[in-house]
Amino acid sequence: MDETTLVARAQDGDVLSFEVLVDRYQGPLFRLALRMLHDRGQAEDVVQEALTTVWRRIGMLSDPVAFPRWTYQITTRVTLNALRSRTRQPVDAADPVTLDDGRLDRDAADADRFDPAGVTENQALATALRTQIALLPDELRLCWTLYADHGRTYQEIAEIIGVSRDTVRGRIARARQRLAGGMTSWQ
Amino acid sequence: MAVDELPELGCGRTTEQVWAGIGRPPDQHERDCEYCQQARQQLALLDRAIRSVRELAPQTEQPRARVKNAIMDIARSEIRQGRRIPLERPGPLPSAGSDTPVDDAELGITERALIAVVTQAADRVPAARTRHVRVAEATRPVAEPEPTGLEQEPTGIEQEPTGIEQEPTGLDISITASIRFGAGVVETVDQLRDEVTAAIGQLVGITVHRIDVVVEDVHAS
Repeated sequence: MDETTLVARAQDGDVLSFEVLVDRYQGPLFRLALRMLHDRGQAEDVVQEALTTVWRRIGMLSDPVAFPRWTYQITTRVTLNALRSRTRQPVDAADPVTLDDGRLDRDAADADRFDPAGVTENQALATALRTQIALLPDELRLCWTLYADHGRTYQEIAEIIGVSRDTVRGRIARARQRLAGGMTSWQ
Repeated sequence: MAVDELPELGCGRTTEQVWAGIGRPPDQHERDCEYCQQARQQLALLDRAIRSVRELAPQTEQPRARVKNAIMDIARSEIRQGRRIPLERPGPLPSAGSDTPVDDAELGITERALIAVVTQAADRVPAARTRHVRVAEATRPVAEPEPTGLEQEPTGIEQEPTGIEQEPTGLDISITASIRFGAGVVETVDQLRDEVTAAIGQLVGITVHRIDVVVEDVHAS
């Protein structure tokens, strides 16, 4: 079933169509929140609050085609609120591995993919990048994640977070420069 | 931030420009420029790392099942049922003192339930994807006596339009749909009307007064 049809039916109160949308979006939205918050429980709370808000307000969405952007807008807002409201945990910048690396390993272990005897180069490279992404300032990390992980265009990101397209372009360029520089130590 | 604040290398090129060239051989400038050579090396590694993350992330990061369960519990508890449409009209109200209690609110169906019936019926038409469905009671003014020519001129005060008694004539249904490319629009709309009319008649028992269909989109097969 195409998404426009699912959204239109959910707008008319069809729970089954909404459930298909939840199935499609909960993973990507969770990964976005996780990338920003570094906490699975908080990221799950964000997904629950965001998608509940989507259900309650979907009738107000004038164009079903705008559903992805609108859903990301809501999720981004909830995520940023969570970032602002929580007590920030002190981060040891000298040991960035504690930030994200352990989490990636746990994720892998959860899926029975973690092989302590032979971590593949891909996994190591991915872990190194995750660590660097975790060290980015929030505004750069948000733009980078939407762009690199979620395939959103500059214009879409601008609409999702409410800044200009040029601002998004600048943030992504700065994020890329920082990440590329940070990866050097991995070699 | 303005575009002119894009990060630049020592040679004046932006990292964005160098990034755009990853995956093709270096141009003349890049071959001679140490800044660009270093940037290309770093960005190529970043490119590999991004691909690695994409390969690993989709299968490992999903919220636990309780998240969806909680969302759907809330959604089901907050279903917008819409107005209640009577299934059948009672006869004349009983006179005062009648022993037969009549509750005309007893027999009814919600708009949501009617929309579900309409959608399910419309889904039996392979070339159509029904999107929005609206249902409403169709009414018409109760017939008035033939004019005798002796009526008083209307004053505009005593005869408010809201005072005109209405009687139900069935159900008005409006549907927006996408039609499969290549399917005949008229035939598909006719099939939609037939399926919906039959389902409402058999399952609900309300006469269908009118079905408006708006084809708002065309989809690939």
